[in-house]
Amino acid sequence: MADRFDEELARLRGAWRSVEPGHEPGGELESEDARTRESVEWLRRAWSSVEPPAEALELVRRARRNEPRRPWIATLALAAAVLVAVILWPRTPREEPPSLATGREPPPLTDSDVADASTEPRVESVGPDQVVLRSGSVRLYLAMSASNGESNTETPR
Amino acid sequence: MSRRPPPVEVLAALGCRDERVLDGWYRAEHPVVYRLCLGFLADSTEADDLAQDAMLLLLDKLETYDPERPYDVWRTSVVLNLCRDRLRRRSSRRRAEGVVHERAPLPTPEDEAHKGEVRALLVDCLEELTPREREVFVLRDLEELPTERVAELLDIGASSVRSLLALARRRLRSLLGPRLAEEPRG
Repeated sequence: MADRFDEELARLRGAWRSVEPGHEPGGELESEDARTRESVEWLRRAWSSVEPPAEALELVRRARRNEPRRPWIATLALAAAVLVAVILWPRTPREEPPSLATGREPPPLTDSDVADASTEPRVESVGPDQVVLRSGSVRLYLAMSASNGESNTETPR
Repeated sequence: MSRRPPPVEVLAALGCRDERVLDGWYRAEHPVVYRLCLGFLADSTEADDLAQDAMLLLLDKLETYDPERPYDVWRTSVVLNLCRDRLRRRSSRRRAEGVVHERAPLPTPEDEAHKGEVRALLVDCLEELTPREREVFVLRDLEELPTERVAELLDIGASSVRSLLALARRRLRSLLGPRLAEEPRG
């Protein structure tokens, strides 16, 4: 009886080892069953018969014509606008208090300064690197940047 | 994998603004793009709309297309991404018209008289698939691209392509199988 059991078991083991997977799912269509093949074939034929609506191509052409101009034109226009702005940007000398621009202290107020408080604005002095305007007790120093980069260390009189 | 050269129409359209040359490209590309939109969206109305957008987008991107790259991969990738965006915005799944669940014999696809019915049935079948299954089925079984190419396009493994394809085929078989036995010959 044990021998018979062993024989059956060996037979089962053999059958177990001979089990192999069926055709690879999702593989070539030829390996599928007939119904699957025919279903897919029908769908392929239906797929091939699909055509876009006749007017669709004309709509695409029309949309293409109505598209805004290519972006490069907008870029060119922007560049031109920037260039014009740079050229026309007003170039005025920087007006800075003497203590910041040149390290010089503003001259102290004198009695004549106070006495001149009511006078009209006038050019008080013109130097190689600065222009001094005056209106009453207020002096306005217009410092011009040195062309060779040297700092101006002269003190105003 | 052999690489087919881009269609002549694509090469001619590259860098060309001549409307006649572009027209040739439109004629060659539009049917393919339309089918892809229909396949990925499973909706005729949306496919009509999106195919136009896709054509315009392709034309805009044509200047950046590298001819060293397979054209069909590039084109399909552009259309696929566009369709996926549209599907994400779609609020709910479209209700299938129920044509696929009828028991009448399948119409003959080549028969002009049944064109509308064939298209409705095709769309309904594709609508029964999940979006991923649909993408794989359209590219692998309908467009007949190799598994490796489909895997590259969808950025998934080849085994995933096969698994999704198997699921799609099984579902489609269950839909169309009962009607195939009665399909009229000829």
